[in-house]
Amino acid sequence: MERARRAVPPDSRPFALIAPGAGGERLYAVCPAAARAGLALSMRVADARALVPELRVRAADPDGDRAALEGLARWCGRVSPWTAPDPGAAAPLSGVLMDITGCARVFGGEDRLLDGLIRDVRALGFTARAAAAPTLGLAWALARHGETGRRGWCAADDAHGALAPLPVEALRLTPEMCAALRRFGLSTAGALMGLPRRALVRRFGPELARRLDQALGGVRETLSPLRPAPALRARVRFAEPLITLDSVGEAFAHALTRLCALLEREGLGALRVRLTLYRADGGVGEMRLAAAAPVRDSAHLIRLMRHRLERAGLDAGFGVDLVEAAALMTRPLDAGQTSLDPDAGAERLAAARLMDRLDARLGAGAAACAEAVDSHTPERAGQWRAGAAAPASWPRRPERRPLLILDPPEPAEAVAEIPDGPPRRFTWRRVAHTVARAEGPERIAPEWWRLTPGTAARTRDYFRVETGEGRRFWLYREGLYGRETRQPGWFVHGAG
Amino acid sequence: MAGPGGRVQDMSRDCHDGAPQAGAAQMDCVARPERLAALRARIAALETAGGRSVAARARLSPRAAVSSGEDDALAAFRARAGLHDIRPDSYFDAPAAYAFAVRWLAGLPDDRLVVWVRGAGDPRLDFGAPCPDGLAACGLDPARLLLVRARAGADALWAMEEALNAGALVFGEAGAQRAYDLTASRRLQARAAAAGSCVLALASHDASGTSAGLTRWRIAAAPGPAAPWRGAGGLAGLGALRVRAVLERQRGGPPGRFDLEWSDHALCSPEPAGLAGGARPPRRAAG
Repeated sequence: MERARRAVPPDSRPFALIAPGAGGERLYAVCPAAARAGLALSMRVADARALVPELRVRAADPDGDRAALEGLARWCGRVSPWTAPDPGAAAPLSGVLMDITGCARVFGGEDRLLDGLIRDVRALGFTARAAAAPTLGLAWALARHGETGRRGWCAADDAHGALAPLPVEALRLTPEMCAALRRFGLSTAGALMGLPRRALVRRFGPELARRLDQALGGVRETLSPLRPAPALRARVRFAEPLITLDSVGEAFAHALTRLCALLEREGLGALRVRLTLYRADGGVGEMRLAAAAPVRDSAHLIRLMRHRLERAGLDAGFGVDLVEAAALMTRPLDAGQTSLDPDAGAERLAAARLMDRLDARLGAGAAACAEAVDSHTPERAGQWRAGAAAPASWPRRPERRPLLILDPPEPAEAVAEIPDGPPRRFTWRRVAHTVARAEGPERIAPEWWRLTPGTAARTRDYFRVETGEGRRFWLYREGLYGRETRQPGWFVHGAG
Repeated sequence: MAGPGGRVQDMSRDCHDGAPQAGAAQMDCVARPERLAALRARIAALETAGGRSVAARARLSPRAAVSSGEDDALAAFRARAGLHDIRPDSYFDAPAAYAFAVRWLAGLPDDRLVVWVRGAGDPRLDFGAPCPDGLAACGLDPARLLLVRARAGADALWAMEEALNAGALVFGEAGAQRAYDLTASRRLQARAAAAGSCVLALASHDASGTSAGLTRWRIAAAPGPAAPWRGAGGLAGLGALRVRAVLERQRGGPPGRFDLEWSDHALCSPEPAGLAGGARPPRRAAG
């Protein structure tokens, strides 16, 4: 089953939002009072003022509307994990679609779910109408054109019966097509359903038939959710909103403990966990935890959460009435033995856990492991990759490298006896160094297959040198003398 | 001290049994060495708890021993779990200090995880990032290493403590941070001692301030011996890496001075320590 509901922007006295349109400013949205006075959408502002002199207008903010709608869709995550904003062609047509399959049980039935939802959305200051129906199309139609009564919502199970009395506008058609249908006297969906399908398609195109089928359930229609649906989630709801961040931390800890119990039951470990807090004022706060190795140890996750919570900048606002912990990415994690050497496994796991804690506190990417890349370019061959697991072993390479590598290499002024010989003296960081020992050159040609067109990389001749004081540096001369350049430059690329 | 206490109680019950003389004599002879040991331990604890060494800054001992990587003069210091402070002698000696620290860690017998905490871009220690192949050449397996970049000084200290709690060996450039003071060093020392682990704190050459570390080293590069083969441009090749390590102070011991030499070249076997120490190669005239 699929359901939908919609929200309308706040309204008050004769008031309209305007936006630039064809031939000047046109009405973008009107309040009910203005609508009763005879104003309609896309009417020119001058005409509207002639009808209703006391009309107050304000420029429409479509981007803000969209953002607010997205926020509302996020907020609706308290009902179902599967929600999506539905901006619609014009502001009054926008709404939020959500899939509440299986969610009604949690709230004690569909009626209570819809009642609660309407009450909560009204408490946020919106006028809301909702509808629950077996198809997205029908729910959309009922929410906008159905008879909702005082409760603010309606539900239907019989698609044909519910759709038949609704006007053709309920079918999500373009205004032009609706006008054309009405010209033929086809004003309700029921009238369309009675006509032969082939004639409809020939006359009005495939769009009409598709919309009709979507509403009736003949064609499958899915909604793509705003946020990825988590594999597992645990939530804790509070009758009294939590005010302090400390209590939110406790609530998150509680939710994480429950999430870990779920993970254990499924034999899974979480790699990414999303923590969401739903505020009573409609706001949503979110933070994520990342683990280098699958985890379902609640103590570890709670520790990560506390580190993140300090820096996440979450705000309890006027109170938090629901928190959720969701495992976004999971991997199978069996409780059994994983390797012949239990100590090695435990050590790797301890390293992964340490990495998680460091990342959580210092920011993602703070901890890095060495990564061997098959390359001759020194700075590419050994890299530090954040978030990656440590390699099992390091390849033995014959090239001699310094302990420390400067990135980027720093220019130095060097004097060499012969053009392609080692430097005898060089000035680096404003200090002159005299070379007492030298080895090289190690010639490294640029990886031409990596070059971006237009850049000219040059061959490097590397020298290991030791100064008179015993300090060791790693220098290179860039460019082959005579063939690539007339003035080869010297660079210090490493030390130690 | 549950052992001696329990024993004394047993003695008193013996007294009640009616053999006071024998009991007292037995107690005397059993308890004396133990009591002596306990007193010694207490004195050591008092000395170390104050964060002050009894051996004040004495003259450096004139004895200078050159030791190769195999025959290890530092083994005794390395074996002590706790905080060791390292400072380069001058700005350009920082790479030598890094090399000293890495070889210190590589020389430890256990292959625990090593956590290298980089400071918040201190220009006095900015000689680049560790090169995995360079680490491997120093004997430290890069697969064992976790590199941590901390933005603030407090973060770096926190990361070092956290790594110690996880039982890792720690090399931190946090010694250059202003947050690294006596209190911070005491914390690190306590954590390292509790974890049975080793933490090296690298400070900049001009750093001042006290530390609760077990030892404090000042490292300077020293001209190495010439390699037995010819290098480039008519110069000699690079021989063993030589470093002058001055033990400025150590807790419960005298200062010292070591000329250390590591030869890691594939074609060159480590020189015996005695030979290297006896015949120091003449210093080349610095031109």
